[in-house]
Amino acid sequence: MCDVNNVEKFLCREAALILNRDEQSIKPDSPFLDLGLESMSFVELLICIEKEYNIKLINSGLDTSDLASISSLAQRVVQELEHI
Amino acid sequence: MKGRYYLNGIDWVVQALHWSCRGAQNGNYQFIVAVELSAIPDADKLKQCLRRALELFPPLRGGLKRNLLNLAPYWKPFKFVATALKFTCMRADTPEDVQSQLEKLLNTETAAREPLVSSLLLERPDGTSVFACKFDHRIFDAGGGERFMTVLQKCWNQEYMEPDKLMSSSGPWLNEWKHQFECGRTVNRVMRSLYAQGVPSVLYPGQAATGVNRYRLVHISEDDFVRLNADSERIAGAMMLMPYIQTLIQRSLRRVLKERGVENAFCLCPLSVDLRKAGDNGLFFNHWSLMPMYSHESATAEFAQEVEAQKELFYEYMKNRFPYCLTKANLLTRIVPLPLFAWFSRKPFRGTAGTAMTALLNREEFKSNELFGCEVENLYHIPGIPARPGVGVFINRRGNTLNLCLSWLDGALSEREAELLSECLSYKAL
Repeated sequence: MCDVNNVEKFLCREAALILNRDEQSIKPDSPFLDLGLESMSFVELLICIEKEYNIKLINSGLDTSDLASISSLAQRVVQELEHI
Repeated sequence: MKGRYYLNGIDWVVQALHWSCRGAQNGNYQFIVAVELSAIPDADKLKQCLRRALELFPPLRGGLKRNLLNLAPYWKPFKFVATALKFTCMRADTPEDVQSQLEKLLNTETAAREPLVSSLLLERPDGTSVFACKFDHRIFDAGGGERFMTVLQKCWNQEYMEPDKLMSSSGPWLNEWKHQFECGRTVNRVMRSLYAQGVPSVLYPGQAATGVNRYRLVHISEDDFVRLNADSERIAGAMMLMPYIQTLIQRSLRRVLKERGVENAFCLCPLSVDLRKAGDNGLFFNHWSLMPMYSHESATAEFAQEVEAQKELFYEYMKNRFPYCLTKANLLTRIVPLPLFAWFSRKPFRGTAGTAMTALLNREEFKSNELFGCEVENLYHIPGIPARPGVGVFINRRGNTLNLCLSWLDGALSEREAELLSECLSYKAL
């Protein structure tokens, strides 16, 4: 079973790679909108999630509450994994 | 430039488009970045600062060469001639004057050995002005054009600049052949699947186009942008502005096609995307690629379903790394002589190049609120459109507003159709 902390670490690492930033500068509670992600970079992150966890989130009804922070997206990923 | 800059795959596609535009239109393959200023900057100082930029950056005067040994194309700067600067300062009393002068600038061909940037300052009677810079696509993409404003601002402030940090050199890309062929295979698969969709509906009527570029600017205000964003989050989901806007554009285009009597329109809109990574300093040459977004009239009655389909398409292209593969695959085409490649590149999509070019520059490359000591009131792009497809919609973000520029070749759209499209795209009518 995947725990939220591991997913958070994974998301921070991938977001840092996509945004060309230091991994340490991205915290699990970082608000998503402040990270500088837009449609294209966000889709890149969703693709990383699909490759790692085999879940496709693009048309899964992600809303603003899921993207409040890295942590909330991690929780959503874990929820989706529990439903598989 | 320390080393040579060898053209990448998209630079080569742009060279082909330049070749096509030069033959068929009043101008090169070029675009304008226009900045509305709260005051009128000192024209003499502005001229000096443009001259300094030309001295600092040799690629601004240059041309295409081929390496004699490996035939890879590269960019060779010419020797600098101090008198060659193109800068015009004039009055523009009405918004129509501004539009007509900007159209004139866009339709002026850059002569051989002239600098590939030229500028215009339009002074308005209310003490405001519009500064416009015309860029040749061979050495500038939209993001680079905006970044060049920062360079001019630094020249204005007489700040020290390290040109080498802004001018990248690149090798001839004569390795990783297997990878390039694999990318070519991905591109071929996508092209084949597009062919299976049918013939794209076009707005361009062939011989009717005169080769003169026209444009119309639609400004989406802060209030309308808030509404658009809220609708986008509600219907498309968070951070899905790009597919949402793409859907709106395609629906607007299909409405015009329907008015022309085109039934079951197949709308194919190549979407240009910026491949620059955050922190990438690239000023010159092309850092973008394309995604062929499309929709069918018949299959998409519901707006929400259509948005979902666009999101899915967007996602699949990104997952297959199509934009990246397109740039890599085009490295293989650089061996083809330019006239032949220009002819060959008209063949995909059954010679139409689709219904309209689309672009969304979501990241502001020039964020400053000040330029030449004046407050920046707005900044927008006016693209020149190649004869195929003859129509384009370019969107750029400025703070919490959007500028949407509908650009077309004279004759490709009637005045009424341009009006209808502008109205649809303004978001007020939707």
